[in-house]
Amino acid sequence: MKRIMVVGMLIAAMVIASAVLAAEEKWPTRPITIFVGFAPGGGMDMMGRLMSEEMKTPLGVAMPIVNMVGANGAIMMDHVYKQPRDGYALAGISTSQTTYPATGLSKLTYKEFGLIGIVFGTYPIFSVPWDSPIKTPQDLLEGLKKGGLTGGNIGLGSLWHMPQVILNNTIGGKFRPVVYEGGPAVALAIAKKEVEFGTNDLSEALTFIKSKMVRPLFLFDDKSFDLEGYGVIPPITNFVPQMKDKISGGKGFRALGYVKGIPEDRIKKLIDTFKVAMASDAVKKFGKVNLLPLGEAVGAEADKIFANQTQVQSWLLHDINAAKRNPEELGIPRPGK
Amino acid sequence: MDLTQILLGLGKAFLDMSTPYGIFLISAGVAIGILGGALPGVSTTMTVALLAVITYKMDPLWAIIMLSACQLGGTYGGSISATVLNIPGTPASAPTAIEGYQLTKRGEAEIALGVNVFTSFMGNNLGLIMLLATMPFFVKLAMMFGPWEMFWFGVFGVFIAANLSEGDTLKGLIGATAGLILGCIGIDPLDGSQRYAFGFTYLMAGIPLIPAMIGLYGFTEVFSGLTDISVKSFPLKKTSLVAAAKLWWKYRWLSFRCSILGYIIGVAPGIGANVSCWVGYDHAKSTSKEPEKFGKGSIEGLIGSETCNMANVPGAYAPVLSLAVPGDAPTAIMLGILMLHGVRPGPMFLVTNPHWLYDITVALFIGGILFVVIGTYAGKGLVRLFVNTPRTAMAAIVGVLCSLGAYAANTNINDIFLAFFFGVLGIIMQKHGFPISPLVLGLILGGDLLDVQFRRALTAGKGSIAPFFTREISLALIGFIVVVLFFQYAWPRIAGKKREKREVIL
Repeated sequence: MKRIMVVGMLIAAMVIASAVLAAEEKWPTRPITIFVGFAPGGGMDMMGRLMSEEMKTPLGVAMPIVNMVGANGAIMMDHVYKQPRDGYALAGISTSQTTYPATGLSKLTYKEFGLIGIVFGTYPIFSVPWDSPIKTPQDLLEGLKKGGLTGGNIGLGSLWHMPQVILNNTIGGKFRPVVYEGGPAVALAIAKKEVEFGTNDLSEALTFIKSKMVRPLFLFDDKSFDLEGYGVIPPITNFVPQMKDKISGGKGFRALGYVKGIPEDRIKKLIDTFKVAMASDAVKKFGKVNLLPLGEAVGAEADKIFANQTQVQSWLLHDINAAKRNPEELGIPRPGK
Repeated sequence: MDLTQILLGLGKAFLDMSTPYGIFLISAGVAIGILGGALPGVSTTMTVALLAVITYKMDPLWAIIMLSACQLGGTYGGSISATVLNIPGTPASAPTAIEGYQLTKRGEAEIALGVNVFTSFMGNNLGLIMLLATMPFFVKLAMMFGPWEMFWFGVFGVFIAANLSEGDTLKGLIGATAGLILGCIGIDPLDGSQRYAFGFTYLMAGIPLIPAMIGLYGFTEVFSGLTDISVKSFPLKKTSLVAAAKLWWKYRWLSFRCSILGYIIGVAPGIGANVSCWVGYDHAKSTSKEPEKFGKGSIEGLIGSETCNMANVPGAYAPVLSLAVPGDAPTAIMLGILMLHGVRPGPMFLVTNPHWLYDITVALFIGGILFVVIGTYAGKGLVRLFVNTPRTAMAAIVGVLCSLGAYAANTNINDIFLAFFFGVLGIIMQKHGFPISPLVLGLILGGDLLDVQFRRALTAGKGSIAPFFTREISLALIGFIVVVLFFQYAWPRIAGKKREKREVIL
């Protein structure tokens, strides 16, 4: 009797062990959560929902979105960092996270997080109210050099603040930043003439541009953009040629990321699925309709961009005395070192 | 656009929305919204966000119809748990908890729920009428509000907080000040500094409103229920929707005035129902002939806050459809869904797509009828289930609901501890005669409305305070505040002196 019990328990243990092993080999076996550090309805939230929709079928599991708002995404990053390294918790990562070493919001950087891939880039534009006395890009540049203009953005170290910082640092300009809750709020503020200029994504100002309430002066890029129904928006490099080497430091991205330490085969599976999602009609259509450039970098290439932008932006904020923390405290090297 | 066109548009919208598919979507949206709104911690915003997932493959207009019905249901649903359990299901139901729960304690839960549902229905309809009437002026209306005007709203909110003091103005102001200070905890949105966060990541996000309110209202009631053994359970008087309608009719002019206030607040982007409910409540108290009933189960208080609340919902669509700027958090999600579908609202959108406005208006109207039906039966069911339960058992159940609700708000375990902390704070405040509502309102106003808008206005005005006193809407708001203060404080004294003089002469 005792022998039968022991044999039975051994068989049960073997069955359970093989089931666990089978589950381990077949990954994922339960939903993968995408954590977004910003409110529902915003750009990061939409990116998360789009990728959730396009990746869930190839992966065979649901990918629910959980919004954990606060401290420019730091609360979310902290939470994801504390999860098991099993690949079931992903994070929406953007340029907001690249300035943590300088803003002091979190100690988590590209050293703790990797990128599956960059979903969208950005088209940052500098705009003015439609009937503003600032008529040309040169007028704005002169105004910045003189100092005193009010400029809308979404906060220290954010997606739309960094292009302003980089440009002013290059031309020796100054401005009074006026912070709003998001890019659409900046566009509205420009339309209402609350600020003399502002920076946000082209897609966020589109409806105001087409209604002749906001006038884009230039794109923070080295290529122009032909906006249907409006005309060509010139690049900043047409007016400030020395910006050519600095554009990449100020261009934002929205990406899907993970905490380092996940098994390599799972990261590979996520990257392969990501590529399938990025090639889907839904993602291409979203990018086209909303004027968002599709990201091209995945895996190690995306990680390099994450690291480079963190170094460039954090040290830039430090050098203009806008940082709350020295990036050296987190071991972030200066760019190029 | 003339009246004939509007009527034709509405007629076509009725035909479209009355199809089995339309009725199904609106009913499902309303039912899910009521459930989400009634569950503590699961706010209207979260319910809309969860429902948004299933709308990706739908036609964009039907997706918005379903989500707007959900928002409507959720905004109303919060009043059910506020009335029955003293836990506001959504922050916008906080004043309803003050009055509704007192009515529940004296056996008038069904009257309170009936008044809530009928008042919400009328508030929604009045808001929809204003939405149609102001359609040609949407863009202009939404563009009038800037940080200067938002600041004056915040100042008005502080005076409301003082008026919520139930007798001891000083204690109310202390509570409101504490709320304002607590509201400033976190990362300063304007310059990124940490304020009173002491390096804790959790505090960097600020004090989350929903767990704090669950603590102040819900846990406080739990502690009372566990320690006050004199009351075994609450009585229940049954009543009908007709009786509730008659009560609404008695205070119909209050409802009309509050619907205008609620709608205007809805149009101003960024204020939302969390503030408008208090504006309506305060207006009801200030104009009531029986102000002593407030805090003890005032029907006028319910009508004021619920009408303002529900008229806010149609108002929030004005900036969304005309400027692609959300009026509140649920409409922010809807805007995101529209972007996902490639639809771009804007100043010309309703000129080229007027049927969107008519379809949303009719859907919200039908949604209002449906939430009267669903809400009445859901509310009665809940009341009859809980009111016969011994109070100590109820306290235990509510304690579990509070914990789940606090966690559900941000899926953060620390929120449960925070709710508990605020529950203890609430008990201490109650024992020393400090009203809770001013602290709640201070928390709502503190970080975003008063401090941030003031400094944003100063930087946008290059340091000048002149725009605070020269912009048209700002001047109108200052005038409004002066009038309100006059009727709140000066007029009762003048009226009292005149009565004395008349009595002496007689």
